[in-house]
Amino acid sequence: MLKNKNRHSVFVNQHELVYYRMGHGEPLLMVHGITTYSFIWRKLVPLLEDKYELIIVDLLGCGDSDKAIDVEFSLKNHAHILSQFLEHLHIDKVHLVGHDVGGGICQIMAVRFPDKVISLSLFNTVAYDFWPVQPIISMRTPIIRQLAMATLDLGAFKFIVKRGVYNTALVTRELMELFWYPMRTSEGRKAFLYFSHCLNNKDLVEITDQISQLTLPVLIIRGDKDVYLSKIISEKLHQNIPGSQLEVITEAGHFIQEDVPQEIVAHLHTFIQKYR
Amino acid sequence: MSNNNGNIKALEVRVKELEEENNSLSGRLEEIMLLSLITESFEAISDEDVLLISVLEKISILKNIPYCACYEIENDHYKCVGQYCSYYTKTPCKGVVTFSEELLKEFDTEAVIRYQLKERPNSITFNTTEKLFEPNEVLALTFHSRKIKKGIFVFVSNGNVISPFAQELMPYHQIIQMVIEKWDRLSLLKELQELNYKLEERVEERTLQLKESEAKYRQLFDMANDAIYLWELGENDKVIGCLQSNDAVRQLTGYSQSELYHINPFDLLASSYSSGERKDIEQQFLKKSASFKASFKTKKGIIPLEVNTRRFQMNSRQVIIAIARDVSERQAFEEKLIEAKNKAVESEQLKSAFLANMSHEIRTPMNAIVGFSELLSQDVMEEGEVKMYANIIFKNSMHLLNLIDDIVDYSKIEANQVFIVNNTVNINELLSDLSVNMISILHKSSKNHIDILTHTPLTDKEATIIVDGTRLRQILANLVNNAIKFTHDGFIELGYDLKSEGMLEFFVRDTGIGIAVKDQKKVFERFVQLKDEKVIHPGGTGLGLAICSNLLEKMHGKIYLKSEPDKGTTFYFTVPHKLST
Repeated sequence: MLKNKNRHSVFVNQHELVYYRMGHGEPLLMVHGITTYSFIWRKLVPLLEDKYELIIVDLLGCGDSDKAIDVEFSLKNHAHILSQFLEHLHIDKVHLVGHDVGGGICQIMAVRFPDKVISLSLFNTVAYDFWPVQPIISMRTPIIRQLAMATLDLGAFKFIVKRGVYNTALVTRELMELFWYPMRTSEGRKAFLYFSHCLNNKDLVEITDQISQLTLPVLIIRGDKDVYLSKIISEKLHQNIPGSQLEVITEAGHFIQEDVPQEIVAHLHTFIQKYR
Repeated sequence: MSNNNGNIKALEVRVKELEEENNSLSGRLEEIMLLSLITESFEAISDEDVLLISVLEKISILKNIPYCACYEIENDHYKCVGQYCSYYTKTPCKGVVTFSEELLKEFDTEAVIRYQLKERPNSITFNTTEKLFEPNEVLALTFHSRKIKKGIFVFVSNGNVISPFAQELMPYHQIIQMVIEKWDRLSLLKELQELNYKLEERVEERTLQLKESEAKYRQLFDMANDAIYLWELGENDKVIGCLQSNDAVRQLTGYSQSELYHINPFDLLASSYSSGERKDIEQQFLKKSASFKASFKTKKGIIPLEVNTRRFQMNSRQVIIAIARDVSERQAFEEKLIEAKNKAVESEQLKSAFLANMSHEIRTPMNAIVGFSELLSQDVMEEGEVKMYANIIFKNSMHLLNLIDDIVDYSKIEANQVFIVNNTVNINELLSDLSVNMISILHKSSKNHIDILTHTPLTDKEATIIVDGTRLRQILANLVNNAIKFTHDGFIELGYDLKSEGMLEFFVRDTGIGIAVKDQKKVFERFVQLKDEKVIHPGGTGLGLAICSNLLEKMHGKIYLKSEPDKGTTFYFTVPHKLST
């Protein structure tokens, strides 16, 4: 687990953001996706902290950060908040590492605030409109329905987590505790559902062209066994972004950090070193 | 091409069918999950408000209804009992909704209200600018419970998403019914708990009072001067032991409570009691209530106790409370008192009897003496007359003298001043002497027809003994005088026999009036004279036999009698046959 001694918080627009900061070197901002929070990076920390300064954030409405839902939890706004967050921390430039919708946020950051981004690494990311989040169809989309139900029932939640991990033996009680932690409170559940309701692929659709014009180094890692996101997303991103690097790891699911932390760290490190 | 189009159309239809199927399946899944989750909350949550919010949250999430609330309606007022609004952070998010008066009235009459908000835009006002929420359809279901006489559940769907309420409202009714039932149970439970709490408080209060009162009684119990025991009885009224005892018990007996715990009180009875007496005491003790005196062994010796017992039932135990008081001092005092009283009564009687007797006894001869002396000095009389008067005066003087002798004798006895002086006496001679005197007395009292017999079986040598001759003569003379006094015909026999125990048994037998059995013991008491119509005035002090009896006691002898009314009396007395060597 991430150590409490590395836990910090900062107020951005009157909302508290909790983050962990450790290690030395070039800064890495690690952005989690939906259903997870900072904990999802924990296995990567010991492998990275001697080479980089790690900044691991809980997005607004997630983990220990503020659960206020009077702020829009759209990807665009999250990207905006994170850019303010970096300013508050007086960090000029970072390597962006994003997972799931965190990858979408990172894409928006890379497009909107290119001065702040050294490189972009996307693990099982969302992109374009190849992800089922359109609110109009959400009632008919099993994953969102499942997410909604899962907030109320640990069993249903476990089902989601299990489907997202390739090596199901890794889904221990401890891991479930970590996943379930924000769902213990009504605020946590509400913020989570609000986050999923706010998801709108128009935020990513509208930057389709800018993504293709990215000049910074881009690493795309895909867990081949990710059942939640189509492999077309990674392929299309790789296709559209000139000079981007795509790595497909066969024995990994959606929560790729759980399955193969060492492999993704190896790819990430090699990637960053190459473009130094 | 048209074939392809046809295929595509068919496929689209099929996709639609599948979607619908999927929808209905997920709808059923939702309901099953909702019911199961709500049941789960019912088991886990015992607070009414938390329960309601939790249920509303579940409905909201699973049915995708942004606003779910419960209101209590009272006339034209309404109060939010609980609500879940998925577009608000603050919980509880009260004051979000305003109902129109028209809608409130409708709540009174309609059990189910359902409409599109845009048809009646002013019926419910949401105080929010949240763009994610576009109030669409309103569903209001009324209910009543133990606590809420009239209430309403309000659900408002979101126009942002295609989520009309299902046509079938059964699940809503079902859930509301479940909530109300659970509420009622909880409220009953709460009432019960409150009652319980109150009861506990009262019990506590009473316990405190009881404790205080117990402490008070314990103090009284311990401070009591009397020893108080609480004995427990077992089967067949067998005493198990002493449950409690107070400080006075320890002071009185020296036994501690722990020692008394296994002691049977009857084992402590003084060993002088016979088994019968023990049984009596035991029976007394086991009675419903009793008061008795008994002596008990203690560490401080045997102590007479006055015991008051009462038997009763205490918490299904048979117990006897025994209050004991040391009566040794009182008993001694009482004994002394009785003795003193008896003495006082006795001396009182003695005095009165003495005075009554003496005044008469002395006055009679004195009257004669005074009267005849007067006659002698007044008139000139014949010699015969003078002689007769002088004789009367002499006889009465002698009688008076005898009387005074008796009184003096008895006074001496009373004052313990009689001394026995032994000398050598030939009892044969003594008896012969006495019989000569008797003849003279009989002659004087005109009873010459009465014969005098003597019985002297011993030789002179054997009949010469060591004895107080004067007292022996006094006793015999007394008995003889009595015999003469009460005998009118027949004989008087005077004699002795040697008894085997080395005692000489003297007797004076007469054929006189005899003594009734009931009076036989009395004759040896002081101032007792038997009244008999044949003896008009027997004379004497009534001290004679009492003096005899007293004297014989000092002479180591006894006096007793055999008598039969109208046949005669024999007085016997014994003295030791102590030969003079």
